[in-house]
Amino acid sequence: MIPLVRIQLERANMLGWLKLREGARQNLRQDPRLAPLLHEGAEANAPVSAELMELGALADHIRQAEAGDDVYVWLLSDAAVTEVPVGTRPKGKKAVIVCRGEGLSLLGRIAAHRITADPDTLIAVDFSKAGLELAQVSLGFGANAFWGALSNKRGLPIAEDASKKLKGEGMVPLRELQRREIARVLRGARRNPIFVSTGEPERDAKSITAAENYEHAETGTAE
Amino acid sequence: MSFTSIQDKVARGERLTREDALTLFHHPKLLELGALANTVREQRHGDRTFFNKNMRIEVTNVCMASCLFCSFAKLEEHMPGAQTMTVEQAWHELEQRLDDPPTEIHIVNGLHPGLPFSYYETLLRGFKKMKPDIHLKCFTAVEIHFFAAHYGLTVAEVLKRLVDAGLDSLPGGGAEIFAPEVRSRISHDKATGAEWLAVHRIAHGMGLRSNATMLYGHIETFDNRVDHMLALRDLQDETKGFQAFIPLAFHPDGNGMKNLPAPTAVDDLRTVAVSRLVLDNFEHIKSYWVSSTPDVAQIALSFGADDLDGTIIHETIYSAAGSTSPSGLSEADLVRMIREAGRTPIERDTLYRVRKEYSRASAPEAAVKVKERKNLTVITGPLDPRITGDAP
Repeated sequence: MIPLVRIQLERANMLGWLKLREGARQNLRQDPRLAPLLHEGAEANAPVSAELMELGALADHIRQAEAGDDVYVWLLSDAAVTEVPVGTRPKGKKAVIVCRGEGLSLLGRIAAHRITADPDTLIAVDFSKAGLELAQVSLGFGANAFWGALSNKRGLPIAEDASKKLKGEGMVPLRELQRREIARVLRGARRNPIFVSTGEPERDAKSITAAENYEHAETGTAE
Repeated sequence: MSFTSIQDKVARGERLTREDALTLFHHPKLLELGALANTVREQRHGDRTFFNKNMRIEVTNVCMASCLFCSFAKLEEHMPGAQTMTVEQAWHELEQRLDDPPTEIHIVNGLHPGLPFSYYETLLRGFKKMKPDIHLKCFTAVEIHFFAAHYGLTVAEVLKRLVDAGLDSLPGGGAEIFAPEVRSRISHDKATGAEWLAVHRIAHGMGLRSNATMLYGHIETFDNRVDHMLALRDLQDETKGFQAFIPLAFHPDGNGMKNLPAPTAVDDLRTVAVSRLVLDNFEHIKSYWVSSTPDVAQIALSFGADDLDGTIIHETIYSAAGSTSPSGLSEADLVRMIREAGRTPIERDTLYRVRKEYSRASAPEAAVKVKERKNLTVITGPLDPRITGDAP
């Protein structure tokens, strides 16, 4: 953490939250500046504006210290699923919190979850709701997972057999092209993409399958 | 040069070097870079964030130039999609908005080989006749250079005749990337970088103000971006005629570089932040919401930008290149976006004179605006389902 950021966190009275994380997360979740961001209706009282950058800087600091630069990616057939598909939870990770919303309030929510969550929790952004641009920015606010369904520009699901001809590569499945795009977006944010296979449509030689130990998984395979 | 030492230079108010700028572009921590740019932004402007009520008119998309990044231009008048307005049609665009008129008309066109120069003079005179106090920010330096070559005039003569007809300032478009090795590949048949700068130097010498842009995210390098900014900084030292710098993100749909990916949001924010830090003699850095999407433009207000441009109505160049941004926003939309970002909205005119200073919204007021926005857009969803899965 550079001095400038530390000074800003001190001014915002947020540095103390780092100590609170060590033993009293429950209290931290009740903090009046964080609690509204963690629950439904967050926009009503969210302190998203003036303190957003400080929230993000603290969340990013925690993310890097506790979770590193890996980003897990779930490519789903339906983003609205409410459980992590069986067999796709990375080893050592107890839970995934999927954050949805829009604009600045989404970033504030992700940061608040990162600051208050246990270290073994993945904080995911629903990229199919937020869009890849905002989802990428959220990686700087504490997110370390992408969650969403592949879709075309109109938001419709991409057919399993849809493909596009690429120069020098022949017909390439559209789903593979989107995987490449997501990998590019993640690398553009200096992160390591790890694609989590969620069933036959997404499974290929480069994907991670359920039986594998993710700690030894090949990363950044989709480019 | 380390990031910390650059931070110290910024704190001391020292000018950043080329090497410093490259270090900033490569700095891995986006929020640290943003925080540094934000300190400079807040030293200059505090929370004040500018926008204006403007409208864009593209009177012709017929263009002799064949820029690879352009999805807007048609090479010849008879090609499908080619359009050229009559002056009456262009005037009608303003006429139908006189109930709630913009303060600025922003006109950018293709390089049409078949129109007489008098067309442009008549066009401007008509707008001024209809609304004498409207500010006409028209014709990029590329167009001015084309007019001079095509009609056998000097750049100064072109500008003088246009000023006599009503021109008030120049937009910043057409700069693209100055680096000759890149420019020759993406836009070889229009004004060079040196010629673009020369037009602005002459315009500034005549008392005209202008803006400057940079098209990034295609085949250029970070070195090219930095050199572009430094060339603008040098000219600004000389003339002090630029008002704002506007980084423009490349969009690939429907143009000669469609196989390239568009720059990502992180690149957008990084470029805004570096430009705020490097361009120490530019008063304003714009986050052009049409180019970067309203969401990212709003976030950029914490990464060094202090201006969201304007209502725009009605943009066609970026929409032709696949931009998902709307073609216009209302004044209320812009005020809401700025307030949500914790800033104070300031409606300005083209020359940054304050027309209206809004209050900075309290949190509940901002929240109401958010809810209104949900009714207008579709980006929302159930909040924070905590979901866990069974271990394998």
